[in-house]
Amino acid sequence: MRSRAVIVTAVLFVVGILIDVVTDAPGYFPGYAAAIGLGGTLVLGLGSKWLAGLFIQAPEDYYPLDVPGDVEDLRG
Amino acid sequence: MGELLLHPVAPFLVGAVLVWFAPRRVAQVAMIVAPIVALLQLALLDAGTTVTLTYLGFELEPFRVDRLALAFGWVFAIAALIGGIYGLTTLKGREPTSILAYAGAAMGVVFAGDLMTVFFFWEIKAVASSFVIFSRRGGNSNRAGTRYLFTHLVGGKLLLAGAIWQQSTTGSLAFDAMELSGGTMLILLAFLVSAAVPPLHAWLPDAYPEASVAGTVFLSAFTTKSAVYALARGFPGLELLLWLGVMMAVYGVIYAMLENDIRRLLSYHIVSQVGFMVAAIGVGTEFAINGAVAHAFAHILYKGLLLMGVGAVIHATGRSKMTELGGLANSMRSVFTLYMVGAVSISSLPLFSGFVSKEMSVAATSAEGFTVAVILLKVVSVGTFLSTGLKLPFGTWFASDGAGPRDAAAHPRLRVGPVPMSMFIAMGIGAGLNLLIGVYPAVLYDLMPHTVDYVPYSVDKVIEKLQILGFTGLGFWILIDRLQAKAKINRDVDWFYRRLPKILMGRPTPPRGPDETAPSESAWTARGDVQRAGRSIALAQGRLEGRLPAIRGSEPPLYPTWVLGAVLMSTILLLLVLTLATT
Repeated sequence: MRSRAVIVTAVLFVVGILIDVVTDAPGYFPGYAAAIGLGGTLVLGLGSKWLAGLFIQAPEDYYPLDVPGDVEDLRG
Repeated sequence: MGELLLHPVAPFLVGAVLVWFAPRRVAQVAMIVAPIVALLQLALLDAGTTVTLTYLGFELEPFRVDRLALAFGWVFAIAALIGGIYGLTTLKGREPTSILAYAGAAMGVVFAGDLMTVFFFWEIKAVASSFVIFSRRGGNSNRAGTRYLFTHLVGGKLLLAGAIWQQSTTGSLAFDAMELSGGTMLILLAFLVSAAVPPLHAWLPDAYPEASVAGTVFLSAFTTKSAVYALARGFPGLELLLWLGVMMAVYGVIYAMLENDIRRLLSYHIVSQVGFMVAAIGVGTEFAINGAVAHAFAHILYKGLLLMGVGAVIHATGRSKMTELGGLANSMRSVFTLYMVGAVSISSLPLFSGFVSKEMSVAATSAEGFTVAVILLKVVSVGTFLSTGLKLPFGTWFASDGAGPRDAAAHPRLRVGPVPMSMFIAMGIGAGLNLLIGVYPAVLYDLMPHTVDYVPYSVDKVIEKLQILGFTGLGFWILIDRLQAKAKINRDVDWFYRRLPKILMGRPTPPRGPDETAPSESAWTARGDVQRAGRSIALAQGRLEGRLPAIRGSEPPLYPTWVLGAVLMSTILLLLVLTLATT
């Protein structure tokens, strides 16, 4: 499924560049918006995970005095 | 002085006093009537109205009406009304009093013309909002609320010290645009604390998810937006704010990407979205101030809608973590649909409110040539859609269970309860307003402090935004396995005051006794005040006799710990330094 997602994305990326060229869209280069969307996802998605592994994330009982469970039951 | 009768603070504060004594039914009516009266007052107010008086030799202006104040006044009253409807059936105890006092104080800040009046309402706002958090009386609300209270009281003291310093150097307490000086730097610092600018932000994702589901909706509307108003009033065009805002936006979205708790995820997005507003205030042009105010207005509406949506899920399931949710899309279709209106609004999808507000603040930044800031803000927009529009809904309503059964009772893991009609009505109003602003932006632009000369809808802008969002969706499809939430917590700067001192003091982590485990499903369902009261008395008796360990989350709101001592000591030292500096 992942390879299919990559292929679809690559094809649409080319289409996005063509749309920008045809419509003379403003931006720093053709495909700018597609690059922001795709590049931003990759940078934020992978970058945040990298930072999480580096020092951000900890086990749920890291603050021992916190109630780790969920919230109040209002279901009646 | 007769104009004071039209002060929108009045209905909220009168309502707060009334609901303290009145039975629950009257409190429910007051929660609706107070904001409606405030809306009527706002309709009768004209820009230029002012009330001045002399108090203890100071020239004060407790009531000043201009277009900037009116814009915030309108959205505060609307938010109070929507939140009041949402919480009609769930607000309990003294929560309505705290909420009305909180909303009224926020309104007081907005219509204050001098720094002393700002300080007066700032403090009421801090205390009242803390009690909104305490009112949940469960989970970590006491501890998180205490940390919230201390943070905001320190912020209030900074504001007071700055106001006094400003008065002593300029002879004026007027709350207008200020040049940076010793006193105004303290005032700026107080506003930055309240705006949750990192590293002064940890109180927000710490405390907001710990309030009741309705309490969080109110919290999201007033505290940070009062600070945005104060920054727009006091420090427009301060370039430092532009870069602080961009940093906020990036910081908030990175943490939101990692968060597992659905309300905490949205809390980090408050930090991120307020970053857009702070950045626009830093740009400081009329265009940018309009962008900041428009975005604050829209943000209150769509963030309220998002928090109402996840609040409904929490109300129905008793779960707040994505790793424990999923498979709800079929059984909570209406909630999911209404949430998604908020999600596409915050993501700036054309025809929704974020597109006509957030894009205006980014365009204003672009117009002044801050290219790096603009690119970073656009990348943050990607992260916004990724986490609130894709990750959160996927993890909450779908995940490994898919769309789940149509019949809530057939859910394999969760017991899904009903959602009150009042919640649907409030979410419906919120969704309708977000759509109205997106489709007909003049509704919003007519309220802005300066004349708006911005056309949000053009082919270029729409195509660009659709491409950005579309490719974000494709990126999510590629990375879906890696982006799903994990059952972890995220260390933030609150680590420095929650964990580091204990490490430095070498205090061992207390062992978990049998009484300290998280409340189980059976504990939640063991209902009845008598049962709870009996258990509390028995436990308190045991603690007095030293037979039982302390129970997590059971301390009174203001418990004597090193946190209290450290905050008091730092406040004393700060005031001592300020006293020495000003003499």
